[in-house]
Amino acid sequence: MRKKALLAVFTAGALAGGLLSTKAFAQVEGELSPEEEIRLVQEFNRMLAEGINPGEVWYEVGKEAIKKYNLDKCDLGLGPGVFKGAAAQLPRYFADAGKVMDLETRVGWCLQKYAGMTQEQVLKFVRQCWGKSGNCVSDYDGIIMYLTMESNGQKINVNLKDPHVKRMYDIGKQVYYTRLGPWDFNCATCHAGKQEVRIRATKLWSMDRPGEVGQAVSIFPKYLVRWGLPMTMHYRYAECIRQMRWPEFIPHSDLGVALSTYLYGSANGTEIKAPGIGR
Amino acid sequence: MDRRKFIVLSAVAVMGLSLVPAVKPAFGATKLEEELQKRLGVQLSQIKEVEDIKLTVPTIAESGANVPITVESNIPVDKVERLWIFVDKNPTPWIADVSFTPMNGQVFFSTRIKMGETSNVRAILKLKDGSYVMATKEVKVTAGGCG
Amino acid sequence: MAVGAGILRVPKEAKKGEIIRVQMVITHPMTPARKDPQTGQEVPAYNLTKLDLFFNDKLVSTVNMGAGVSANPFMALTLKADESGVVKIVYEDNKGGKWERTAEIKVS
Repeated sequence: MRKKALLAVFTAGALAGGLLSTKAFAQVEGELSPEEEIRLVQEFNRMLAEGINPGEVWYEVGKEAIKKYNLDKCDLGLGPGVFKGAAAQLPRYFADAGKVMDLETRVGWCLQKYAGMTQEQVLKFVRQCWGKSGNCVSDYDGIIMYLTMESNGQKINVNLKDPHVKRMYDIGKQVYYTRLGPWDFNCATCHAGKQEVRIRATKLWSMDRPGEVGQAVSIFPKYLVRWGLPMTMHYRYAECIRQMRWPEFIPHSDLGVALSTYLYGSANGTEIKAPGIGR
Repeated sequence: MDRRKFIVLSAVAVMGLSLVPAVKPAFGATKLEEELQKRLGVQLSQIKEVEDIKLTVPTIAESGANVPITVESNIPVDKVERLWIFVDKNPTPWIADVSFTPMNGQVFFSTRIKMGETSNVRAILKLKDGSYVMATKEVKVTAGGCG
Repeated sequence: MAVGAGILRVPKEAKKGEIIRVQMVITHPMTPARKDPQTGQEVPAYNLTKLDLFFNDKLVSTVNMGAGVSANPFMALTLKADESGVVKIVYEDNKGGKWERTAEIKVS
């Protein structure tokens, strides 16, 4: 009888020990549901946006650069050197250039006119920090940041009643939905549809969910923490287009203007709030 | 020792042995332990986890390059000497330390830190009485976006 | 401009005894020590090492940091506004860079 009791204690003890050690070993990975993960990623982005956005440093850079490159003569649609609220009504038609231009394209045009740059030099100026990650502060990024921030609080107001502007809007929309390149991708592949699309942990905005295009564009230039610098819209187009394996995007091209007109035109009414911040 | 006692002792020993893998070995200190010893001269086991420190970090970080962290405490600032921030699994677990004076008004520090992988983040306060208290939270570092 | 530039932000005014936030962003690459992928050579870390917060020239806090802090770091501390004066931050990196920034606050 005694032996049986002892055997029972022995076995119970060994089993208990075995169970306890398995529990201690068990890797609790914390499987999160997709909804939970998205919510937590949004929480992360909200926390990231607190405090001071490092992108704001580019405001002063831009302010100095505008003087340096004689851009106080540049007319963004409200008169030469009138910058407050100018970005909010872009893209627009410029009679002196005979075409519709968005903010970046107009700045490029002014750099040629008032700073004596050639088109090649402007492209080099624009791309100064492209592909760099960390410790790159360019006058161009500063200029775009400054001019956009001068419209902070203003509602995007692209004049779609102007036939020139409406034409670019339609072209932009067509491009948005045209499959191209070896992968048959278009902007809509990632940024359209009612169904939510994700790339790894990042949820992508969609043209078909109301308000999202406005939330996306109204915060550009967007400070990217992974590169330590602000990304302008044309840099964003270049990156998207590269990722879609489309032919290389040229800054300030008509393609850029068309995309800007479609995107900002679709975002009319959204308050500009630059810089945004993200990974 | 009679046979009964021996068998009982063996049973206890077996139970004990099967529990050993769950207990961290006393030797082979982690990088964190080494840093704590080097910079604070204290062992992790000597630091008490307390509710009085509010450590705010995201549960998930979409990028490990820039993880927001805020440390606040209702422990009166004149009782606190220094705040230390550690990330267990970083190549160098020590991130930063902050000294406080009564002029701060309260214990508060916020910044952005780098994390190489999912890890514990620790906010350790050294009190003027020589003791250490801390708050620990885990941050999951994921990959996001199209790069 | 690049390295060492920054923004120091405090409320313009405060009530006596109020605890205010001192916020700052400093541009700095904060690169950790690493091996150059092409030459195999060790590239030393390049980072801010210290930031001192002063109020009316009295030292309030010192932040010691390494390359574990993010690039272009944001930092925030608190200050008890007992009198009007000048908030000053003095910061340095491990390559001899040293900068300072000031901001005024009126306390009533």
